[in-house]
Amino acid sequence: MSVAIRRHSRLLAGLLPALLVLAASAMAFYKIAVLGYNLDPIAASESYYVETVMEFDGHGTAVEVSLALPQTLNSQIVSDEAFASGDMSFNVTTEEGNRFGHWTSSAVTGSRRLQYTATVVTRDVKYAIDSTLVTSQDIPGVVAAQLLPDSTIQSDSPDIVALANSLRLSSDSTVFFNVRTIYKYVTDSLRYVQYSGTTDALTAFRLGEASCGGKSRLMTALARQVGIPARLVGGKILSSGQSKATHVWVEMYISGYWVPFCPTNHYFAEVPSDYMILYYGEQPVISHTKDINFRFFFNLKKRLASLDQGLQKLQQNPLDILNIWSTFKRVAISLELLKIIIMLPIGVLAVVVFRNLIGVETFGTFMPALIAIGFRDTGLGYGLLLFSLIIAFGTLVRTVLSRLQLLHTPRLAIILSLVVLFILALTAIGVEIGLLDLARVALFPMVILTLTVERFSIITEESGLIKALELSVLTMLVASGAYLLMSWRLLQSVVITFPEAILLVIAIYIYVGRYSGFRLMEWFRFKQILARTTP
Amino acid sequence: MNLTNWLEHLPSSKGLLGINGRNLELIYTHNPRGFFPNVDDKLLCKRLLDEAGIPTPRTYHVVDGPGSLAVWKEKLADAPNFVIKPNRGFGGQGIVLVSRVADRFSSSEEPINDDDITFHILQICNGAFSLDNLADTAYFEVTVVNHSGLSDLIADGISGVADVRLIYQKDRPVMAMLRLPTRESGGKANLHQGGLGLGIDLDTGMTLNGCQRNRVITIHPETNRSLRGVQIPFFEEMLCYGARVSSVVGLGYIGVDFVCDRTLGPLILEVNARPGLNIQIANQAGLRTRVR
Repeated sequence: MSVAIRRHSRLLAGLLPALLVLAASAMAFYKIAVLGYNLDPIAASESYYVETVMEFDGHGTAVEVSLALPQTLNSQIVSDEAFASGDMSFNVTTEEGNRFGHWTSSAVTGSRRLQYTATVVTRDVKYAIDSTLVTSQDIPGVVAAQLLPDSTIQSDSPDIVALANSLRLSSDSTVFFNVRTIYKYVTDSLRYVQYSGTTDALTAFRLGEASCGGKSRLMTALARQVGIPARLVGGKILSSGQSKATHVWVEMYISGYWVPFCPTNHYFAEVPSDYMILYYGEQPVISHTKDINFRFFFNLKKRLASLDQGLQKLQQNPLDILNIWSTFKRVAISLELLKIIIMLPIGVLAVVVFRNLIGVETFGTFMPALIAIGFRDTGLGYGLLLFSLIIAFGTLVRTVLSRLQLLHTPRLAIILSLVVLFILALTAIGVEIGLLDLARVALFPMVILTLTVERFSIITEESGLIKALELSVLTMLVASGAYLLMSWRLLQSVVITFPEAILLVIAIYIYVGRYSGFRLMEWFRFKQILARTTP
Repeated sequence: MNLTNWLEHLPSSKGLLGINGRNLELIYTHNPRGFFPNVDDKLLCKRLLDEAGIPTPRTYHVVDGPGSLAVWKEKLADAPNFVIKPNRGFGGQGIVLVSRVADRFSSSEEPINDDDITFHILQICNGAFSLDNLADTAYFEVTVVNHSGLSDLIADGISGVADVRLIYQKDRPVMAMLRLPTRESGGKANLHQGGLGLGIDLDTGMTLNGCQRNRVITIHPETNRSLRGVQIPFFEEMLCYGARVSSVVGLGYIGVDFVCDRTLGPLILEVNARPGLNIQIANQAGLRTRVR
């Protein structure tokens, strides 16, 4: 090749990354300065994928199931709701400010599975109570009901009245004094014990111990007794994983605001951002027809905010072409898919770095990045476990098949078919034992796994099992790297808001693509000879 | 741009080339993609070399369809021993040495029958050993017998063939290495599988130090004989033939693999457009300093 062309390519390779960085910065600057783009609405919020799974066995009679549904409030945003109803009819009702999903059927035989999923973004709530505020205040008519005693909050019972007196609660004192005193009493003098049933205010007081519900009811009763409107709040403390537990806390109406208190976890005039509200008042989270062997659980997953809220702002800008989110939405492509597509060029960075700078060998060039996409649904731990299981299973199958002396392509087709069956079996097992992460193995890239099995077997035959295992471990290492990059929430928000960031990775790829020095591993490969060679 | 320069010179690589450097500085710049089939297609390569009067091992028979598959045994009736090779194989995969005693075949001391051979040919034709698993052609080739000048370097009872890898930049030899099959490599002269590589002095044709995997050695680990100072037979002829290969195949940076047959002399076994880097360890010298 002529010197002129080589110099030309060197110049181009030097200029191009600079141009790409410039173009990306210019686009980002334009979006921020002129269109008012801003990462805050997206980056600040983490969301939870909330799933409620309910199962029961029908015996030919009518069945009704109701579930309290979260709704969008000052402290939380609910989006992407979905309901799985099977053959039952379904409707949503709003009663006294609460939302319920109702599944009904006049005759159900056999087992049924109902499901509710939504994305919820929550934020913390915190109030400062003016310490000079007097307790007597104007109370609007709708709130006045929250002063009345009821069957579980017996604010007029002699025992509660006596307790209020002994605590020197008085409507003449400041709100702060009353609330503080009630809070201290309920948190300090009532022991916390886990109960499964409903403990009313009076029982909690008489026993001197209660769970979150009992503590909250007693707190509500004392507040109502002294003239502060108060109500129970039922909800769920958000944390990833499966559970059945729900939580109850209290809100008091103070100078126009409903101020939260949690006597169980010791939050005064505040609740943290992981408190998701499901209903107000005395409500069951789930109610259902008796004797149907009813089971349920919540499954929560922390995710990057659905972005819907944050992106609605961005969507309104006039230059739609710069806004991939609204473009994708028009053709009904989900945000999840968009995330995969847009993060792939970033995930591949791990592949490029491991291969060209470190010198790590893997099965196939981009296979680790594709496996990493599979990990997105199962999580890293299960993903690695499942990958190993499938490779082990496939290799076993291939060993048996090699005795049949089949031609290459039909043999691959058989391995693919059996890998599919194996994955379906794993999914079925996952659903059966309630491990949905395991069940999501169905989303693994199967053709790629099949080719990995084939490579694994060929390398085992030609270079030994050790070499094949080494390649598997390295493939998993690179896939983990790609997964961590692609699932990094902050990076996701940046790339989705500013897709021009991909130009920056391209600039990096050009740099790496022009790097003609040693890969890290080659320093070890040539170690002995480097010491002996004179340049 | 300066970042890459900085990385390159951080600790000195002393003229040794890594894979990145080989690809960027030698293969992409010297070897136009369009000419790769001239060497990746081994039968085409042999034909080009034949036409240029450069000796290659004789091809007994080519199987490229059902017709040619059916007659393989008749076509090989006169060949005592032979090698079956995939036309577009890589890394020595799919190559089987077959020997014949009293009309019974065996491979690596194990008896095999006609059906085994037919099945192996079918596997090759189906692309089991070719790049990207594309459909391939199988061919039968004469078995090379190691020249007696090299037998001392190979442990007893190993049937594999030693070969001489010569790296050329156009018509100029850059570096040379003798590759020896070992027990550890299962009779293959493949460095990745534990074969030995011995550096060769280009001026004298005498062996220098050697390497096994990435380790420098001076004594043969299986015979305990010294590896240094062995004269490569026909080295002058190899250099003469080799210098012409680059213009024949149209590639500017190539590895030319010679074998020394006891009766036929030097033959080109194959040409490689992406020659490996361990030749640097065998010669204790960097390719970057030798290439202009």
